[in-house]
Amino acid sequence: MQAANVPSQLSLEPGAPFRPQIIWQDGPCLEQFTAYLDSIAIADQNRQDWTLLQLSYTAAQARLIEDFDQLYALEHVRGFTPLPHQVETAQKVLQTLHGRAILADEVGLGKTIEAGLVMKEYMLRGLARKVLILVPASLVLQWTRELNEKFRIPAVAQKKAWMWEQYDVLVASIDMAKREPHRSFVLQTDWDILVIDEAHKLKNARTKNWEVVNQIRNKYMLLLTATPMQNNLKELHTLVTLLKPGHLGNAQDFVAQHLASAREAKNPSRLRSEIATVMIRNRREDGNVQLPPRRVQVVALDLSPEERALYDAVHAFMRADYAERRERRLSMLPLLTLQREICSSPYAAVVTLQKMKARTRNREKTAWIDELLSLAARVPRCTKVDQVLRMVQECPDKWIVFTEYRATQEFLMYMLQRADIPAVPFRGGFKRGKKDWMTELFERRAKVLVATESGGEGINLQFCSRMVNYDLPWNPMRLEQRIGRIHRLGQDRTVSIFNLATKGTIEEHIVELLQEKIRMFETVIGELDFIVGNPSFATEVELGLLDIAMTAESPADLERKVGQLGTALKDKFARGR
Amino acid sequence: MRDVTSPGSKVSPLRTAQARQLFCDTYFQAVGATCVFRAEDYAEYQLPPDVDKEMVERPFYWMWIEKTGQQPTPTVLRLAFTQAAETVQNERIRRVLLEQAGPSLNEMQRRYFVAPKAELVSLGSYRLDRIYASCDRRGRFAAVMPSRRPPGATLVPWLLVNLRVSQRCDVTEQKLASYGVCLVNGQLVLDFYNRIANIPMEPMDPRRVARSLRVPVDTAVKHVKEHLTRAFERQPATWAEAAWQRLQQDVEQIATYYSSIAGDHAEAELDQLWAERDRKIADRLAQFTPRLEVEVLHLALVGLPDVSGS
Repeated sequence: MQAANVPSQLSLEPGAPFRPQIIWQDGPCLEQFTAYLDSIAIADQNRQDWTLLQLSYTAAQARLIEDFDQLYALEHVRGFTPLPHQVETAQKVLQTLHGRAILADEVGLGKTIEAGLVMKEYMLRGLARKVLILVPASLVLQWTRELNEKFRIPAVAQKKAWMWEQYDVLVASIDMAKREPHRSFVLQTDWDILVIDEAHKLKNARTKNWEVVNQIRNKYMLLLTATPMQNNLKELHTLVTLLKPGHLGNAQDFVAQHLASAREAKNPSRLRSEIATVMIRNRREDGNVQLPPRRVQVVALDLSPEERALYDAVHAFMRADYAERRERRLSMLPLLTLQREICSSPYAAVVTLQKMKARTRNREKTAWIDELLSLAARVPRCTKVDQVLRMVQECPDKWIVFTEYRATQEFLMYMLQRADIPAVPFRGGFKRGKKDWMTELFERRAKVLVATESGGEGINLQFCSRMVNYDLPWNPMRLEQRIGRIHRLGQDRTVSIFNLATKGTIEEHIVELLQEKIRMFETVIGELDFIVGNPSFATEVELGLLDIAMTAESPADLERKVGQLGTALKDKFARGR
Repeated sequence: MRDVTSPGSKVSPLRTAQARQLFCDTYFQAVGATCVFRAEDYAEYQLPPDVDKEMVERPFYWMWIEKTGQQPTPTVLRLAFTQAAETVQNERIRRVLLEQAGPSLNEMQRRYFVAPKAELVSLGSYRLDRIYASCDRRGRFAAVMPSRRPPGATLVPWLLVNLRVSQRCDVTEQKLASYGVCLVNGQLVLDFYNRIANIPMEPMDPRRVARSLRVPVDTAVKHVKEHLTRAFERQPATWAEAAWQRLQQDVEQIATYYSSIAGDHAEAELDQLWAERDRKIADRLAQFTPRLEVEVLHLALVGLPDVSGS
């Protein structure tokens, strides 16, 4: 696998015909052969050298590297049959992308399987030995397990520095790889294959992670991500630069040539064809996967009088603040957060209210916030929590409850415990071991998993088929990722998703917007082809919604405006496609 | 030996479980291992010490055994050739061993009894790779003649040279080449291995042909090299030119890219940036510069009966 005697300098003379150099790798074989002939002169007649030579010839034939028309890896998978789109993807990576690709399938289409097939194929054909797989810490064990069980790739979870030299196939987290002493080992090794999972974490070229990955030597490279861009098209450029520096030009050229705005391409089809030489994206709507159906229900709830009073009061406060912020061109972010928190639970909102109070010097405003806080303290029971408890108690299955906020999560955990329902928490900040442990606890012991948004990424919970969205993210991508935790390959039951929405609040309309107007739960991510139109319209949607919530004159006006926003977005997708 | 080496360089042998089993069986027989158990798609082989050392990594064990002069416990390899056989045999091994050990175990020990497991021999499996390596080491050289020879026929010495030619660029293509050189008159024969692979052979004492040797072995090998070099030069190298073009584009792209982002970097960072660029370019060149690699796989002295003279 190592190259010898290659020219160290590149001659860029145009037109000079190129002749490949012939490199003889025969070593001292002649001397050895002569010695062999001398040594056997007196030896016995039962020597099996010729048989062994013939076997060696057969073995050499068996190991010859040919084209990738046939994937031998398929004979080596265990316990499952790869889906057609996965085989096709692996083949394309091997044949036409020469092993350097972004695998950007939608969540749940099996990027791991595709990467496994490619790795196995290279290993089977003797083209790769040293393989490094960098994944989020929480996924290290899962990757290791899957590669061993499904592909019989002897992968090892990297723990100690000595392991770098001891093993050929290592799974490690980026955070570990970028720290000494690991960093030096990683950087001084000539890796045959480098695989990076959740590669969208490398969207920023000015981070330590990107820098480390950029320095890792590799022959083949696979970047796995379901969302090659979350916020703008430049992120895609950053990823491609890791694979093939200069393929899309430098960042400025790229912007100048391809971008109409941060989120829109000038000429989508041209950009798409350029990207197609480095990226493969399978989409659920292409009919690649037959997943069990998902059933989405809205659970409409009436607020209690105390909650209503709090909501209305906070709303009035926000409307006043919104007008002021708009006038003074201040950030809308605190309001956006507060608006979403108040829909989640009083506990979540209290945190932000206290922060706002600490920051303001306006005494009038301080008093107002105090009033809101005391209203919040007066809320005796939380309608949504009661609803969750009821649903969980009525059904014997396992449940996942998703919320955006830590405060809400803690409160939910507390209430579940009081009701004697075994529940485990889950969030992004957990260490690798804790995440695995919690997943395991949930599978074996607990009935409910209460997860926050950030904890959703990269965990597989297909043994559970019921999900409650306690509050809704205003970003459809995130909602899709939540659902993708349970609605993915391996799920064999109908998936039930319950969206809690309180009547007479903006939430009611958001549910409608996400669910009906854009038919978010069925197809949006598929239609939201990031290259064509608007890669992440999250901010746009969020601010649009906030504006509507803050300026609507009546409930009817609110409904009408949200409807308009939905139609506008839908049209945009239709155009984009 | 049955024909596991079908002729032609385009064949891909050992793609079926049966072929792999036959291959392993031939190998273990050739190295003197004994087959101690056999079932459908499954076999157990007891290894002699020299093979044991090649198949199982336990140098300290051998050091200890040899220093203390003890009798080694021979390794038994349990090889399954299909997944079905692996499952069936794992159950059988456990059952049999439990029965044997049964009376001396208490309830706890029975429950936690760990039986050895069968290994699945598949393409790319550790065991098969080790067997390949052993074949390559033990089968590099040979000196043979046909078992059935016309009475009184003189033997003409030939040198068999088997080569693996790798055409490497961003894609790799390999093929095997085989030459025969007559060591009496220097005549060169192509595809020599496949011409003689099906002749039953037996070992030959090199002294039998020593006196008729006119062409030294190293000269014969030199002939082969010269012939191959000429053949490469005659062949159109379009693959290499195309790959070189691709590589140049790639390298230019990298160079342009780094020059274009140089403006964003402070003076002090530039050295590092150029170093990074040079490293990336050097890596690409090292990996993908089109080249031909030729490995000598086998050399054999083959005595063929002289048919022209008789």
